[in-house]
Order: sequence, then structure tokens, then C-alpha cells
Amino acid sequence: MPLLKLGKWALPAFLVAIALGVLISVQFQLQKRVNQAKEVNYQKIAAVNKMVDRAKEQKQSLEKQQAELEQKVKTYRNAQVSPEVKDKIDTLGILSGETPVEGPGIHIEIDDRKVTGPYIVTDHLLSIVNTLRYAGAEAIEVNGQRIGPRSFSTFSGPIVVVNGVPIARVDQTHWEVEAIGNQEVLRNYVQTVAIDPLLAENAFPDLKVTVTAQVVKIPRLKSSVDFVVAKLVE
Amino acid sequence: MFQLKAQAKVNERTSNTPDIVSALAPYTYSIDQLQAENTKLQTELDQYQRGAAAALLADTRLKRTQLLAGSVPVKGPGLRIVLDDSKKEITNKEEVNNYIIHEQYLRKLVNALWNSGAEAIAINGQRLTALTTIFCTGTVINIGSVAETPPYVIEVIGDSDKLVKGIEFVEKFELGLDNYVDVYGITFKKDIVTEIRLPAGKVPTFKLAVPVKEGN
Repeated sequence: MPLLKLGKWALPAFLVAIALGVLISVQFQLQKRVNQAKEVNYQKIAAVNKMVDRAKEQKQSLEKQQAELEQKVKTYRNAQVSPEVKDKIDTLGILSGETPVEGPGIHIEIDDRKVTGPYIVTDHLLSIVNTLRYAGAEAIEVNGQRIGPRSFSTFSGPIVVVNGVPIARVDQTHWEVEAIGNQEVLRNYVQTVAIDPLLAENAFPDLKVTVTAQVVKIPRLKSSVDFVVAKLVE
Repeated sequence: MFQLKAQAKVNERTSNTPDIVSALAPYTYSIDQLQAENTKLQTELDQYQRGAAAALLADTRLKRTQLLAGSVPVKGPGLRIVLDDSKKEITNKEEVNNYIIHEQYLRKLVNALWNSGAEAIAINGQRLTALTTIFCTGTVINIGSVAETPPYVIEVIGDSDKLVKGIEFVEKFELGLDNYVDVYGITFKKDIVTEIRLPAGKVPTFKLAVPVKEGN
């Protein structure tokens, strides 16, 4: 028997063989688990992508439906309504945010995409919006969301939410703020009061901010707000 | 050791999966928003198609726009919040900021109140609209174009329970107002009120913003 011929090495050889066998088996099992995890991961990514695609399609379909509904409603709205009432609704709609507007203004771009914080957060955002208001802005939007009378800015986990809609992730933030108003006044105030102090902070060494004067178009307020307890004083 | 490394690799593989909530959030919220808007438009369209007069519906729209813009006085239940500078003698001049009310207190509280479903807000009788600033200039805080001095009285119409809960985090953790009350003597009071009356907000003259023409 070969084992007997090994003599005194028989037992160590046997033990080494057993150990090797166990190690190979463990390695095999672990590799199998790694492969399974990879597979599960791919499946999850595919499932998430599918869900995102479906959500995109649903959003596009709703946008199309909205455009059609708006067109039909406009036809009725414009009939039988005096131009005075229509003008009044349009003008007040600028203040309520329901009227989309255009005009000369500024475009602010803030690039804060980075791996680790601190990040530009809602407080900075509120400060910029507040400064634009002080400088006489007539309409303001942040990342496509019109700032209305009841607009708020908050966090939902890592996501910055405006008007209840997520507009950015804190770690991938690319802010675009637009405002209509006197371009020089808006630019000077926002630069001096809100942006220069940010750039001076050591916390944001790589922050890129550009402010350009241009004609801007600001969308209407999309959030659907209701009045439940507030009543008009007659 | 080998097994631990391999296990770490397995864990890494499974933890690198995309964050479903983050990936879907921008769409789901936009979808909710679009669905709500479309429902409103469909309701309006149904009313027209059932023969409702455009003039009557325009009047309803005008009233809603006035309410939303804050250009009409409103009343309702809510909350009254009073903030005032400390009356204590300031012994250490370096700490003077701890004894006074700052614009960010008002701004953060107002932001939290809107987030909690506030329907209308005024500070010292100045109704807040989309364009009202809360801006400190020296010893006063401008509420819109009016310079206000303390005490600052925030009056809010809305569900008072939700409003009280909604500002708790800002009040306690973000601003730490309890500490400023206890240690430095500033005033911070909240009272639930059964009826608050808020004046109309100022409607500015829009010189540069013009409605986007249809079809653009």
C-alpha cells in the first residue's frame, strides 16, 4: 500500500491532504457565493433600471396628457372671460407662481459635486433665494422648481427637496438658480451677500460658481397646494 | 483570514447595489405632482364640458390665485410664535449674538412651517408672499420692504398640531432655542390660537417679468 510505504510521513501527509481538501472545498464554496452575489447584484441593477425606465415612461406619458389637458382647458378659459379678468389672473399668477414668466435676469450655476462633504445644503439655498428676493427678484426658480409663496426646502435622506419634489442629491449637487429682475442689482447682491461668503469658507475649496446675466424663462409652480383651514376674510 | 476576505467581497458585492429609493425618487415625486395637476385640470375641463360658465370658473380661479398669492386677507386657526431679544445684561460682549434674535431663526422657522402645511404666514403683521425677504440689515430685520424690530411675532394659519410638531426639530436641534432661552434669556413662545387674521400681502409691480406667451 502506498500509504504504508510512506512510513512515518503517512500521518502528516494524510493530514495535509485533508487540510488541502478542506481549503479547496472552502475556496470553491466562497467562489460560488461571490458568483451568486455578483449575479444577484446584476439582477438588482437590471430590476432598478427597469423600474426607472418604467417611471420615466409614466412621467413622459403624464406630461403629454397634461399638455393636452392644458390646451383644451385654455380654449374654454379664454372664451367668455373679459381681458381684464384674464390680465388680473395672469399678473397675480406671477406672484402666486402659477404663471410661467420670462424676462431679463440672472442664471447662477453652482457645481458642488464631490465625494465627501460638507456640501451646499438647504440653508445656503435659502440664503441665495432670500438675497434674490431682497434684491428685487420678480420670479425665482431652483433646479426647475418655481419658488412660490409656500415653497420650502428640506432634506429627505441625502436628497434635497423643494416644493416636495427631489431636485438634487447632496453629493451630486449641481444647482441652477434663475431669477428675473434688474440684472446688475441681482448679480451684485447675490455675489456679495450669498456667494462670496460661501467661496471664502474653507469648507468649499473646489466650489465652482458662475453668475451670468441673460434672459431667463421660469416655469410655473408645479406643486398642488390647497387651503383647508384658511378662509378668505370677506 | 482567507474566509474573512472572501466574505468581505461577498458583502461588498451585495452592498454596491443601486439605491432604489434615490434612483426612483425624482420620478415618483414628479409623477405624484403631475397626477395631482392633471386631476385638477380634468376636473376643470369636466366643469366646462358640463356647461359651467367660463366667467364663473374664471372668478373661482381668480379667488384661488388671490389666496395663493397672499393678496387677500385670510383667517383661520393656527399658531402664534413670539421671539424677542434677551433683557438680561450682557456681561461678555463676545457673546452678544447669543442674546438677540437673528434672521436665520425666522427664516428657518418659516421654512419649517411651510413644510408642515402652513397655509398663510405673517411676521409682525407683514404677510409673507413668494417674494417677501427676511433680511437682516444692522439692528433690524426687513420683512419684505418693512424694517421690523423685536419682538418678532410669527402668526401662522394651519393645522396647529402639525405646525407645532413640524418646527420641533428646527427649534430644538437646528437652532437650539431652548438653550438660548434658558442660558441667555431670549424669548421663544408658542401659542395655539383658534382664530388668526392675517392681512393681505403686498402685490409688487412687475416691471420685467412677463407671462410666457402661449405656444412658447
